Amino acid sequence: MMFKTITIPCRILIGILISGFFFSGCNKKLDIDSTHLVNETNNWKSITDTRSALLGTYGLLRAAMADNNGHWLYGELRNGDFQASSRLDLKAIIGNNLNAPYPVVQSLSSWRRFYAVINSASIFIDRAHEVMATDRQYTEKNYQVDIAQMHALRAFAYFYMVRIWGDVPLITSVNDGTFEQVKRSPKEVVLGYAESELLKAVEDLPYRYGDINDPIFPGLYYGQSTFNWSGVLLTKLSAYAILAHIAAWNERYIDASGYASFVLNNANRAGAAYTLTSNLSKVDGLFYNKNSSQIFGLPFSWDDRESSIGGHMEDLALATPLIARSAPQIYVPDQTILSVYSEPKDERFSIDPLTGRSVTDFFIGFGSSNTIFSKMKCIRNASTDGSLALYTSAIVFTRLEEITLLYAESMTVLGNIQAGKDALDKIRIARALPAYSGTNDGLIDAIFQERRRELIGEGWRWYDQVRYNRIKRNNPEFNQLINRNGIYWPLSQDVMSQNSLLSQNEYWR
Amino acid sequence: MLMKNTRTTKHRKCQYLFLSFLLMSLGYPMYGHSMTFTPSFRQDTAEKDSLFVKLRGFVSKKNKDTVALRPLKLAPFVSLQQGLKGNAAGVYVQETSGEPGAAAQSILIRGLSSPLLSVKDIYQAQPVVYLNGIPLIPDNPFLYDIQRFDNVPIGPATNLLSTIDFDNVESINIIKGGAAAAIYGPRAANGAIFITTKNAREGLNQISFNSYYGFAQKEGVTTLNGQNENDFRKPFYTKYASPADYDRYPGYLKDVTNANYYGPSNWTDLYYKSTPVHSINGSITGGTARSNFRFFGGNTRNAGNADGTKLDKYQASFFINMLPLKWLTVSSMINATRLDRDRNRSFRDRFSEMQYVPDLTSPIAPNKLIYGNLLNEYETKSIDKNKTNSIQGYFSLNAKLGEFDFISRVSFDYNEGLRDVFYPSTMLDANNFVSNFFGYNQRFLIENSLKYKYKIDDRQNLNVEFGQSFQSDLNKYNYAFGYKGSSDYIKINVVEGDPKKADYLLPKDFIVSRFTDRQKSNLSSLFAKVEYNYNEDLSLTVLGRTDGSSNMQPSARWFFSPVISADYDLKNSLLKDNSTFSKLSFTASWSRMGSLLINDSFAAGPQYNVDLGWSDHPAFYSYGGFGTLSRPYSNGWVGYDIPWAYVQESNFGINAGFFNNRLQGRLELYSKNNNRMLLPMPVNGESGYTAAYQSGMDVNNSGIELTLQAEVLKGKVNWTSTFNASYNKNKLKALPGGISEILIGSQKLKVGNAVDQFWVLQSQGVFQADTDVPVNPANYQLFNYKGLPFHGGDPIWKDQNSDYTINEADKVAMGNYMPKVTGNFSNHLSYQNIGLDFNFYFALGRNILNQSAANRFDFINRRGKNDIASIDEITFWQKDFDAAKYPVYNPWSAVQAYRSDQDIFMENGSFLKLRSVSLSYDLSKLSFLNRNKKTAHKFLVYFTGTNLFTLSPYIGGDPELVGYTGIDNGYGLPIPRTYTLGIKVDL
Repeated sequence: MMFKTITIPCRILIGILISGFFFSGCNKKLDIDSTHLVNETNNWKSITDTRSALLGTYGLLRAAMADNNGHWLYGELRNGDFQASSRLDLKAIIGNNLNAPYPVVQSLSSWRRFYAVINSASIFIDRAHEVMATDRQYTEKNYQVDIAQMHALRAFAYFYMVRIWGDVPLITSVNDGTFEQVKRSPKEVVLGYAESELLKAVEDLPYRYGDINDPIFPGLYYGQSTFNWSGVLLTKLSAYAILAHIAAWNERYIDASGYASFVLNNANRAGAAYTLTSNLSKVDGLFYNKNSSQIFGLPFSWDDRESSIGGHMEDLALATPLIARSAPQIYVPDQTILSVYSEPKDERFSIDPLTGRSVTDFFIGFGSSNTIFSKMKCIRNASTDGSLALYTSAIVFTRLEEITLLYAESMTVLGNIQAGKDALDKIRIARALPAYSGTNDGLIDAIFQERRRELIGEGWRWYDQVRYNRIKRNNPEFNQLINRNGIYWPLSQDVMSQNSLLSQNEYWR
Repeated sequence: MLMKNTRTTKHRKCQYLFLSFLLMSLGYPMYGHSMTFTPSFRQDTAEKDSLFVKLRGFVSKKNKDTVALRPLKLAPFVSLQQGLKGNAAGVYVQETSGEPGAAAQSILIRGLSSPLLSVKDIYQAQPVVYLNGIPLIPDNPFLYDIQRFDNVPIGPATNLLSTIDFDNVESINIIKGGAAAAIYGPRAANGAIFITTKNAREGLNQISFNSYYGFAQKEGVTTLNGQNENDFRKPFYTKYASPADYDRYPGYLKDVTNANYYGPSNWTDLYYKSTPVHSINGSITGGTARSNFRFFGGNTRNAGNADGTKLDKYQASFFINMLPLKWLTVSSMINATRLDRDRNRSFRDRFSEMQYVPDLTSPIAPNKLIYGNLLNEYETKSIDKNKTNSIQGYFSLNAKLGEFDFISRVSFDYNEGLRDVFYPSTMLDANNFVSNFFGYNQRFLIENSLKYKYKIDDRQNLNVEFGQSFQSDLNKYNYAFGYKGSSDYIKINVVEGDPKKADYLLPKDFIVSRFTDRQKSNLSSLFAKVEYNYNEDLSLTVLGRTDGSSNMQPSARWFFSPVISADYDLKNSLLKDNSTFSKLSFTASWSRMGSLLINDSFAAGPQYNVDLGWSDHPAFYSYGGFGTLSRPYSNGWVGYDIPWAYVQESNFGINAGFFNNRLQGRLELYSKNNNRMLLPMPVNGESGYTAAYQSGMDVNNSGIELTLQAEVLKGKVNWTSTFNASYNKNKLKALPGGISEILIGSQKLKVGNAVDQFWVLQSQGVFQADTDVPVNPANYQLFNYKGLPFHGGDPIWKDQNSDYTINEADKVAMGNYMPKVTGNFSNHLSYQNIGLDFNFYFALGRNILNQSAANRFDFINRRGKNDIASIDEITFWQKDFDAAKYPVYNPWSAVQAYRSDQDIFMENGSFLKLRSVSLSYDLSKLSFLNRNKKTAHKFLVYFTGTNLFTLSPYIGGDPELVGYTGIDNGYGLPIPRTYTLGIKVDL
């Protein structure tokens, strides 16, 4: 008994001591790796890290173009063929009132999302080599292809921004956490940089990813075949298409024609083909999911469960009877449709002279008060049931028809009328129109008119007007816009207030 | 967000080791010592729940305020927040909706410590709630990360502090000021609320029974129909509309013969209803001196008067105390609660759960038939189940050996939320919806402390205490939602169950999105405290503690917090013979304490996460079918060397009693600095980031708290009055990087100003015609709004900096959303067996931005937008503002004439409420009910009315029902008037 009464306090004392020891060991327990994130020491270790970072950069670009349906608000609406039904912010953009203080317009005036793409690509270029040292699955060749994509993607982001804002700051290195202020570089310099980057990148970019027969990078890419990567990543063809557009935007049509002809000549190596009219507007047509005819596209593939509501032309243009919405946000007035599609037998839109009714795949309900632009209508898994508006169409930057017309434009500007005509006719005939029979002087107008018809709803209309007017210089109002940099967007107050080296574009001051 | 980091190593052994050590100690045989049992809980602040409350020292010396429980026990309050509202000086409770059990309630102690920039910030500012010494784990706001709309978090969104039943509570103490909170550590940096439940006691054999029945009264409102809306819009159309605008006149208003919109507006019959409430609970306490127990069980139903909302609560608690050895006390508790909640049926909450906004062209008709059809769909075909289970417990050992006192305690708190939803296709464009949520929060806590009493001489003694604690938290959830099931009869998300199939565990029917997240955080603490007492007049305390948090970076993981405090009793030493002062003492303290981050994404420093989303889709998770990683461009850059934020507080208080303590008062002055707080600072867009987290935001809160308690009448009629009032103001002292002003989103922060200010444009009339718009003589540009020239019909906003451009720089600070003064006036009268209690609550010097009125006027913009903010609920057909009081602007104007950030929508939100009135009668004095005349016996019958009337200059309804940032969006469900009849019996 006596013994026990002594030992009990002793044991408890020992217990306290033990617990003391063990708690000092518990300090290690304060090191917890968060499950929401990967820290600096754990990243850039394995091939999955490069895959995540590579695709993450693409994803940022997709987000930048999808946010507020920006790809169309920047490219399609301004001074374009579409009218807004009740959204005042869209009306402001269409009417060129880009300084209207609507949240969407202000948000579109910020270039932050594009610089996120640029920063992410730069980090990849800076860090990816570390993985080669730690993971032998990550081969030199794979590394080269990845780096080339990142250079090309960064160049594309710059090109996309220059089209919108003109002069933009040129940042080519990673300044993690320093937030250095950089002033705008002249657009020529930025585009020159983008072009040189792309020219370097094209060497290493494959025609198709995951293809055993590809001359540059044969075999599976990140363990996946062509099926998975078509329309998802930047290929050699995508890079040349971007190059052609950079050159054309710079009015260097010789280069533009060269780059464009590379795309046209090598299209079959990349699996890209011309699209039948019916296939343009089918629910599972060109725009659906991801495919190799989307020469450069950012997919929202159903197969990958990446459907979304925003980031699609459908979100702006569809309404009843296709989806459960009484009126579309934007529409093309019937008058405009008739004036744009003025030639008979056009498969995209024409009036049947016998019945007087419209024959079209691009519009629904023509002649009613509610004409719907329905060229893109990829609802979920190519469904026709519009009760749930989840869309699966990709943001297609360019396709073969577009590059063909760019080639026609380049050739015509260069004075090579026959080549221009041939290229134009390729598209016209594919849409059941007769070969071009107008004057040589009218050819350039015909090409741009064809672009307007063919590429409606694909985010080209505004940029086409800029290029057209730069060539023609016959519209004083537009000349004024070009001369005073009014073709560019104003810069948002948020962006300017954080960088004292930036000032508002003179037109919008 | 959704990454699984397999590299995380898990150590669990520590906890189990320690548990087994405790169980080993318990395993000793008991000895037959006879001794007196000392309860393990000190009951210095216990309040007897009888009719005749004696005045007591309602404030202890250690800066704890005790909440008077009697009024709470007589009222049908269902959450801790409701109980605390106005009942303690320095505590500001906001109930943003009267929906019973909804999570939309907050407690702030001694003001607002940081600006509320996002919905998550209110979580960071909440005090910790202790239940019998267990710090309860709250929900973590990481739930919002995957949400497109942040009005309600995913999951049941039930207020976890609804688990407190006031009939089971012995005392509630509010712990304010660093010195009082020091012992609780960084958890209590925002203050602490200490709830002690009733427990077993030696010699107490008691059966208690409490119950009430009553109802929440139906709201009386004025309804509107299409004609009213038509009349409202008419002046705008006659003045400003173009023919095209007339063409687009909303269809539902065009046709005046449409009986749905132009007919009777009688939806209120289905929306507002008088609803029964009840509560019934009982407890048994018993045992002997060496071991005793208490059991409590109860059920409560609380209901709102609108939209069929209600909360059911089932609760059981069990306590055991034992004295196996002379010097050893073993005590344990287990407390379990189940909450079932019927939520509101607003479109906004439904669509935000669905993350899908359908076509909103026409609002729902105000007709009973139409609305009834929708409710019928809810009742017959849909599922909306919200369950929360919560369980807490502890096991503690207390060994007393001579002057040593050792306490070891293991406690845990676990709560889980489940939500199952199904909406049939008939409710939304032939498109059904299913969602399932399961989430839990779990906390383990191990604490050890050793106290030693050292007597220096007859007058002086020293109390020394060392302590250690280790806390481990885990928050986790799984959530999936799916669209478009094939049938309304399949209401669950069925997955492929055959493991051999390729699509094993993939959904078979619905289009499903799945989310999971998990957050773990640990906190380790060590402290030492020395208390020196001289003659019981003077007490000096020094405390030092060091806390390590896993949410801090390794380079700054530990924070040392020093605290000193002094108490001096003047009455005892100098005023012994003074007859005026029956009590006079001073307290003073200074403290510095680290404050915890609730987000685990700062410990890593520079990092990579999933950042594929954009404004419409914040939670996009793959590109090309693969998960991705990139820098946190949307969340903001996190760098290295983030130090602990800390609270530095100075406190001075006077306690005084007069006339033999018939009048007692306490006055307290404080100055609280929250320093080095993190702020997402906007950075240059060319970096790609929205913001960079920088530490260095300092906010000061200072104030005065006064509590007075008086025995006004004594004798046959007793009248006791308690009054408390607190004044608080906050001031931004510094911003990161030493800058003086910043604009984050639309919130402007300026050093020297308050953080809760509204920044608005000042209206000075309307431009009648385009020609009235002035021209800047310097550059011949028209007076403009952010570059867009004004036109006739636009408001004239005051150009504060005379640059002929209206922008953010022309906004002036006007009003604030935190009240300057809050308080309470409560009274207890008794005459023989009859008692009367009544209780007023007030909040003064606060403003409300009436966004709900702004939305009414902004009908053109809202109609076009088709987003969650432009939903018109059924309450759209309720009159809640006076259109004649506002100017007539052009609603089509691109300057957005009816933007809510202008002074015409700014209102005074002060109010005074009669919160409760109770009339009670004690039957225990009647001899046939209490033959033995036992004092412990009680038989109280009472009638209570709550929330009886409100006085307020605010025109938009109940001034309490606004968001945390003072914006009234019209979504708060009314806090009903409730009448109950109840009994309380102790036998």
